[in-house]
Amino acid sequence: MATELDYSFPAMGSDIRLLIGQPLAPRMPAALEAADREKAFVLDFAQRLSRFRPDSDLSALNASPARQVPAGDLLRLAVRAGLWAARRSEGLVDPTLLDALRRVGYDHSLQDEIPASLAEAMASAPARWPAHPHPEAAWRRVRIDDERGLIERPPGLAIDTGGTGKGLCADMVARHLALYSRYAVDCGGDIAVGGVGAQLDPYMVEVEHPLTGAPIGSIAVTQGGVATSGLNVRIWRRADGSFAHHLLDPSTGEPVWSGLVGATALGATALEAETLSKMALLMGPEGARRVLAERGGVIIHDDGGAEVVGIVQGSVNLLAPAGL
Amino acid sequence: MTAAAMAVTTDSARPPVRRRSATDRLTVILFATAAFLAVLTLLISQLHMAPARARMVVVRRLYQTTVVETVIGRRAGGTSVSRSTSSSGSTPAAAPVPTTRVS
Repeated sequence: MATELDYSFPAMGSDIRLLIGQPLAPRMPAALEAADREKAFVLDFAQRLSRFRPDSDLSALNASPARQVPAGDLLRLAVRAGLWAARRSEGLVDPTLLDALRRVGYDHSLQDEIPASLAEAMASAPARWPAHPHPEAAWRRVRIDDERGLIERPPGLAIDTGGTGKGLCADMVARHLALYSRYAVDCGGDIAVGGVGAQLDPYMVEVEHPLTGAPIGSIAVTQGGVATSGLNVRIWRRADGSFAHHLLDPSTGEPVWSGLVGATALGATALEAETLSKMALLMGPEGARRVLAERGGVIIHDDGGAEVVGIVQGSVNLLAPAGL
Repeated sequence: MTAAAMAVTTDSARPPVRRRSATDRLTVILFATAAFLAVLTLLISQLHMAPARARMVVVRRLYQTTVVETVIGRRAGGTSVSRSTSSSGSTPAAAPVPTTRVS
């Protein structure tokens, strides 16, 4: 008889969910014990990398006036993940946009705030235009020295690991669970899947529509990652009445309105999936089709209609939800 | 008829009866064997003449999911645990489904 533990808890402003099968090696902890251990890991991860906590490692890095700042293993790994995403996206998923994020109003946690209406925001948004990398690519001036345990960057260049944090966290927890029969690690919708059992009997991952919150279908995932980016959760109205959200065009520092409201991507890892989904959303429909073609994914257009890109195993309702 | 004559008569009648009985038994055995062989031949010939059928393997996987433990924690920092037991059974039920969404 196969059993699978279903374990969830809040962290990183989201719900974290762990599905863990049976241990495959002797003397390994049972699934529940492993889940307790991973919960402690995730909470520590969130605490040390939160930009909203003044006592976090990330806040200490950004507050330091020095060019070279001592950094622990986790912070160096998180910054490295952000730089990896920047390289992978050729600068579109940029970890050095923290000052721009603060300028547009994302200077505090939005966890307990009700998001503004995406439909209203789209109605008053400027013309749709794909995002472009910042020509200066400040992220290229960030260096990581693992031997000396340092991060080097121009003083004053603030780094945000939030854009890749959940994917990285899901991948790290998944790695810890590698010797369990099957596992799915869901960090607020960024999901890492693995295990022999998942190869034989894939997880069906539901894709949530960003405008309705209802599932529009499901994708079979045997291994790797799947992630979704969208405009509907971190969106607010500015003092001047205009709308803003957290996905910025690096070239302008302003929220991007690309013609897409959501993008789901498959990847070799959750980190890659998260990067690809953000790239897709930032690039708009045409760029998204190119970006998602290799691994597969789903994009949601402004009108609510869905489009499957590449090869995706599963079923997705392509019609725009009624009433939009 | 004297006793001697009866004995003679009786003795002279026995051998033909014994021969008939043995013949009948042999006939029955021969007929039975022939019939058996005929049926066997018929079956073998039909087996050879029957078209080859593709072997069909039906794999059914049924799940029965039951929650055997649930702990609902506080909203802040709380943990909710539900242990799902998946096993073969007659009642199909949905396995835990993760959801990818914007967060």
